[in-house]
Amino acid sequence: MARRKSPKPRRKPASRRRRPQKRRPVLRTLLAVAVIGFIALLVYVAWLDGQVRQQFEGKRWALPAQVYARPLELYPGQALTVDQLQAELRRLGYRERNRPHQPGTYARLGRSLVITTRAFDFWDGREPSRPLRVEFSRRGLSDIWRADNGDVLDLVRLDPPLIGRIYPAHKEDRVLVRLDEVPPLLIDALLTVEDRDFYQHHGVSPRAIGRALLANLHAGRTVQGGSTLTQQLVKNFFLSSERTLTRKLNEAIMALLLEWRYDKDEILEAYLNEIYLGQDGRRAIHGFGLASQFYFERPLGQLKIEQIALLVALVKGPSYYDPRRYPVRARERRDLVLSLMAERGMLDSAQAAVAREHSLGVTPRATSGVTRLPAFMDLVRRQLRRDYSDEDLRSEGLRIFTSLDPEVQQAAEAALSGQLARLPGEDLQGGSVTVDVNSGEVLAVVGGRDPRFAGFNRALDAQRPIGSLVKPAIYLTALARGDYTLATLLDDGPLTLDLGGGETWQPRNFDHQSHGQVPLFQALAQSYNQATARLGLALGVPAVLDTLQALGIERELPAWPAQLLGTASLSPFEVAQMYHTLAAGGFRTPLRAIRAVLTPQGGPLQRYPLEVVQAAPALPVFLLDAALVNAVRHGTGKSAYRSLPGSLTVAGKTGTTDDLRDSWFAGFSGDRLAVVWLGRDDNQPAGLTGARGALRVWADTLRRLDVQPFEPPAPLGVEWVWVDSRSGLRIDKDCRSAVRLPFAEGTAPRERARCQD
Amino acid sequence: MPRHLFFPLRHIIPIVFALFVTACAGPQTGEEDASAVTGRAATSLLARADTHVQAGQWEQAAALLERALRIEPRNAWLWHHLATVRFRQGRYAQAVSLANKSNSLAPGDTVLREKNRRLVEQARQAAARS
Repeated sequence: MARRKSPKPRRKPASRRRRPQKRRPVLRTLLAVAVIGFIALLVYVAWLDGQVRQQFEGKRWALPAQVYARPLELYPGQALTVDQLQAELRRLGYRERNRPHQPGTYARLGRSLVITTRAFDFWDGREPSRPLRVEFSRRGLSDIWRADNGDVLDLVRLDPPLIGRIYPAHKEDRVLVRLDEVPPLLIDALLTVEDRDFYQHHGVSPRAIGRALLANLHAGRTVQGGSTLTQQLVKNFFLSSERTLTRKLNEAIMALLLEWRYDKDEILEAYLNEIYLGQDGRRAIHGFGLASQFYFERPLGQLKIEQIALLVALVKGPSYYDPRRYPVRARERRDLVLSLMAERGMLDSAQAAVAREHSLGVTPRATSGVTRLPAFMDLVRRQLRRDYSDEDLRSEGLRIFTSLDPEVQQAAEAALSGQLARLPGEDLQGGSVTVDVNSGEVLAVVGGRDPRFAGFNRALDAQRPIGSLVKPAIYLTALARGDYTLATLLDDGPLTLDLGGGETWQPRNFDHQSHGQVPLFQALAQSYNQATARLGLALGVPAVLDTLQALGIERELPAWPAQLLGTASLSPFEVAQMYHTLAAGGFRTPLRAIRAVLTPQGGPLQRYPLEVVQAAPALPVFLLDAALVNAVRHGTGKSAYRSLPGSLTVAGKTGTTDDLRDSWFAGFSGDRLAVVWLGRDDNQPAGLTGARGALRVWADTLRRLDVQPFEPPAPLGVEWVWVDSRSGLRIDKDCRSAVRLPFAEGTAPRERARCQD
Repeated sequence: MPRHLFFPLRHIIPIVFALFVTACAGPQTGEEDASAVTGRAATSLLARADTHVQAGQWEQAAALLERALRIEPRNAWLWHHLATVRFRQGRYAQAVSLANKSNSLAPGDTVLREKNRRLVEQARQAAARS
């Protein structure tokens, strides 16, 4: 290592070449080799320089992007209660005052609110600060006028709640700190323990290496490292624990390069934000800012002496000294750090003694991510990374406007956690996505039973077989062909398909019964596998896959028959895309979590416009939706009405997979679509059908929201007919087996069945 | 205080819409569109969208129309206006889709359906030309 300690002088090769020694060919060859070698080395060093600079520059951020929920619009006629508006004002941090004259204050007077709004710059213009009086009637918000001059206002947009700060170019959460925000005690302790000569050396410290060498020889094994902070930083950039000599050499060169290019404080700041300090499932904890949140749930500036000492102690080996798993080891090392701090005069001995008396002070469970909405933020981050260049995302202080609806998010979280707590099995997990039917905007994402936990995001990443959720695609394929109606009889008898090579496929009904001839709408409502598989085979698996693709499933699915029973593994988010197209009358809209991104100067980086594509003709989608309404009203989804009012028309489908591993429900009202998955992360049976698990969460979510019934306008050429749910024939509407169903004009059954009540 | 203003101001719509239509060279129909049921909030956004349309600021107009659609998502007229803006931007496929969406929400509105039909026709022709 000492040989390459200092950068080479550059002139040398040139000056030698000027005086070639012609009489000595051996020497000349040697010289040529040396020159070539030297040039190669220079190129190599330049390459390393590029690498390390890219890393260093890429990790320097000052201002995070601010992420906002949707702004609340206020207008007469809106279905909004005075309590809901007050809740929003509290979320926004408006203060209750007797005289609310200042922007950001309000007063409640019985059923009305007097508010002075804050001004806010949106992507489509500025919303000025205004004094408002907002009146409510039993039906909702009735009037808004200016509190100062009585002018009537048609529409007011409040400022949007800030829901988080993120570094969109990073894959993970960060809490970046500036050097001046870091407690000096932490820096002093860090330098004492890890790199005493930091402000003296040039990236590599021969003294430290010597010291370490002596200590290691003395102990007969590696007890001390000689790496400087700069070397550790470089090591962290490339995330390799390889301990080869080349690796070390590369690190040393890059450390020298970093020191040459940047000053000490810049390097120290990068180190403080980059160093690896723990692991939270799949999430790596980098930097002291995040580590402080992770271990103590408080910002760095609020840490006590012993907590600072613990973080410094962790640098040596975050998993070996993990304070949650190995508290004894962690405490020993922390106390060692405290002693060193006292030795160097950072603490007096009394302070150190008191600090040693304290317990580790870590929170019991690593529940807290940086944001309260880790699953939704995850989606925002992914859509940003998908749609923007890294360069744009690195701009400081972006403002990101999302479609998150705090009230819907709250309802979805409460429903998932609440229902999971009531269902058996501590290992039971789940995820849900809630979408606005009309705009395709994502309103809420829940990634697991603990919605604050920034771990595995099941709403986006749990890819599970969808089971019967696939069936609407099969029935839509049939209805779109024109020769099937909702009353067409399907054969639910047993079937065996020869797959060739001696293999057969035998789909079975859930109840292990065959139901003979059943009307199409009934086969969907009861989720009969045999009738559905036979129908799907008649239509052709590729035709069904085409429908799935049109509905918005982008994943390539192999065209084997088992697809007809939902062997495709999809995430709740993907399912939401598919069902959104059904809820929106056959118009597909890419699900969006972001409305617009603005630069700090207020210029739009990009807006996400509303785009629709007609994915399926309106009439068959209308027929299918009616069948999905019937499936909740009378079929496998009917237990939804244990929590929903009978007057609320909703549509949806249950999904259950083999051995009850996955419990699904996807469904919609007129304005909200939600997809819920429940199951276990280890893919063991959860013991729940779609109806007994996910459906409960779904219904509970909708119950908590003031949703609109699903009542799409009938396309032209539709007639409604009362049909017998057993025979599919026309029947008297007073019959118990009568169901009212839509048909394309001229295709309704003509024959009448006799009432069997 | 004018509490009775809870209901839509129907008389504003023809004016706003007439402005809108004259600004759009696309679908030309002279009749008044009093059949549109648009609330005050959406109407005011529509009026603001119109000023952007007149100035040829299509994206700003679209942003306001989308905002109006969040308030009245089932308003087939708003979807039609958005379709018209996309048509003027030369985004013909979107214009067709949005006009179809508008139709799907207005099965009984013959006036609007006729406008959408013409818009779709013009968009298809324009797309074929370009």
